[in-house]
Amino acid sequence: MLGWEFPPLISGGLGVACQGIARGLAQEGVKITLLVPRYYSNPPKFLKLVSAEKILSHQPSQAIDISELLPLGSAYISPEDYENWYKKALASGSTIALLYGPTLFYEVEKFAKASEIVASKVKFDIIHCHDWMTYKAGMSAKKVSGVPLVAHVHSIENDRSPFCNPKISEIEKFGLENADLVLCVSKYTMNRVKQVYGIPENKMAVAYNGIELNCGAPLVKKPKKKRLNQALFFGRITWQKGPDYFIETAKKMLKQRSNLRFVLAGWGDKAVPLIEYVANLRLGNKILFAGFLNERELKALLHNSDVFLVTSISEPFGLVALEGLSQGVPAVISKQSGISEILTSIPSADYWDTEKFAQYAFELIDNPELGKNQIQEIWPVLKKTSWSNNGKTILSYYQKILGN
Amino acid sequence: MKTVCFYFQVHQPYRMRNYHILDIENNHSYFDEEQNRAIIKKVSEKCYLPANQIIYELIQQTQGRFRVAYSISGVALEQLERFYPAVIESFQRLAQTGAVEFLAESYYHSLAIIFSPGEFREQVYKHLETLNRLFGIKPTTFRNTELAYHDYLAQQIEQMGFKAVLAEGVDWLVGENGSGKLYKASGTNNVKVLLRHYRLSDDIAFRFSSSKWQEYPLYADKWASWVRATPGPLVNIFIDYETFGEHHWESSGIFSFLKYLPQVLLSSPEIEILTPAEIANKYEPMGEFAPPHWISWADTERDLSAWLGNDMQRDAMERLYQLESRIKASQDAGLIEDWRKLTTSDHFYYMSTKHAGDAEVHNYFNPHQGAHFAYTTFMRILNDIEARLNLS
Repeated sequence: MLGWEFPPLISGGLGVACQGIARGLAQEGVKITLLVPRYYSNPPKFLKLVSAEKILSHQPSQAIDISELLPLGSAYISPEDYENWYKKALASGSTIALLYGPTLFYEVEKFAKASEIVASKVKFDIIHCHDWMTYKAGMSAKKVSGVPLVAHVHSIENDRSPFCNPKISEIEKFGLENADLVLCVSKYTMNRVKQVYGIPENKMAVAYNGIELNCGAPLVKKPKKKRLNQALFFGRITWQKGPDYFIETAKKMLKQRSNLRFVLAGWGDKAVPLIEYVANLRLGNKILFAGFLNERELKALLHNSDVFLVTSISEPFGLVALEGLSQGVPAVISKQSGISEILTSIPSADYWDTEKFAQYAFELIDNPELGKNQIQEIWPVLKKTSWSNNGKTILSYYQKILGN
Repeated sequence: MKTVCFYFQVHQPYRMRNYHILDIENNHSYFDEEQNRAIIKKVSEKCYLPANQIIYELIQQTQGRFRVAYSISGVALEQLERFYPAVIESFQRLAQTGAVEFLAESYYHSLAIIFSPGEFREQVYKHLETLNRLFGIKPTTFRNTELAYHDYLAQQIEQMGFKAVLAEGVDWLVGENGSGKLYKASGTNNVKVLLRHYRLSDDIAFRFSSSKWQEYPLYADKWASWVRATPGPLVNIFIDYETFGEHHWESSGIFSFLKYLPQVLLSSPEIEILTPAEIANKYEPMGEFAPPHWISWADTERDLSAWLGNDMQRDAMERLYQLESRIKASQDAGLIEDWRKLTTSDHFYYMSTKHAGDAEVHNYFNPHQGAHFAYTTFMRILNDIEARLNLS
């Protein structure tokens, strides 16, 4: 398996998904060797973890402060941001700059080289890679070993950015064309891959991500008399997540009543312009920016909220919806998200239809029973949406392409 | 005869803490006690105490020919009383010399005059009460926050009984040497306006320790020669008191500069030093001062754009004052006090997004990680204030 990041050294959801998929497969008895660009923590027991950095340097890596690595920002950092980051790191004398190449593409090539070395030494039946950064590595491993290649699509370049990087799209297209099986995190994503890259449907399959519920039954919120209702947006504040549609919805709802509080939790490249936009609307006392929150804080904030909105413009899967629902908070979600395929009983609207978002949000706020029923109804679905079910599904696809 | 006037501004805001989204409706403490205490201690030891000592000695040495004026904001006085009472005592000692004038301002160092004349008056009266309690004085000269000035201000303070007011000597209004004259405030019966000589003031306040400045290093005799060469009967030097020891460290020689200043100035028989009220008594206005809009002493624009220049600042300020009547109707003393502390102009200054030279100044004073952080923090606090209002 080829991954770009792995907990605890993660910058976003990709690392978490990679861990979940690997664990689910391991539960099914699949033996996994996972190659990642670098890794410094105690490796997990359920797989063999190999660091590309070690493979390439043939040296044990020195102790490195993990916190130094986090400023990379996102697994999907843009090439421009990457170069800026690299220059800053180099200028600040950070040791980490020496581990990375000057461009993201250089990193990708290096990773492919490491994959080739590992593939020539380790025996395996299948290659499984995650998103474009690892596609070249997948192809080079396939070339050496001749075994089938599975490309797992967590997102595509068109979904991540309104300004597609042509070089990334090219790598993405080439990788998907060369894969024996393209696994998508939703039907929505599968359609996008077909639409954008022309990959035939018979080479594709869907494996929904999972979530670990940490309690057997939905949390029952204590009934609290409130003078004010709160609606939440959480996740990265970037174009893809549609935070501006959350604000447009808030605007509409605030026109109807004032005892509402809207909170955006998280940060991203759209945060500063949106803060200024809210100020321009003179709604800064109603639409609050919480900044980046840790997991504990986010849970507490969810428990204070009456409803949360997922307004993504294009969301291959949409883990935030599962995270929020698993905390017992009702949701309205965008139709342009993979998750809406599973969560069929959750009210959904096109991301631009802020009228509908507002209407559904009001219904949930005004009728707490409705929200409670929503959670009760969705709970069995959440239970089924587990990493172990994801592992079972993926294993069945493995067996299919291996012909047994 | 040339009259030189020194007025020093003493102000420290209650800086906000990083008020968390989860604090809303749970925790109503908005200000960073620890940081505020630490700053008061640092500034007191680096500036207020040593500078007060020097000025006290200079007054003694010159038998009161060296005279100064202070404007100490209410929130600064309050914090000094709580965190460093020795500074209050040293100001009291200065008050007893008879050579020191204390000016009135809005207790919370706010821009209330722009948004709520009623609130403005209440804040000024609270400041007057405090000055009376601590120093047993009743000021007749007014200085508004950051020298924000318009006819309207002069009219308001005339009604409150003030005789004189300070303002910025902006070139485009009064000409390059216009600050050398005393003015009557337009729209008033007889409020006298003293204008800041910004070049000579900023020589000390900003340029003093800049080694890139062609006049560096600045010695007292050189600066005094510029004062003598300045046209007009008045030279008004209005600066932040923190200039001494805080903005310019002791190692820059700023205290030596201060020590020699009276000596080099008063050695010329044609120079005297008076306080603003004394100048207002002694001189008759030589013209009318009528700025067409609000002016201030801040940034290159000399207007209110440092506090109201962008949408974040305007939203924060407007939303704050929008709550005023409900806040007061609540009769909840704690709530009213918290709301008033939020009127302090510094909170809005931190939200400024101006660039270039001015931005450096803003950043130096900013305890947050930038303007957007300051704004979002302020609005979270405001949201809690609103939640408290709804409960009361």
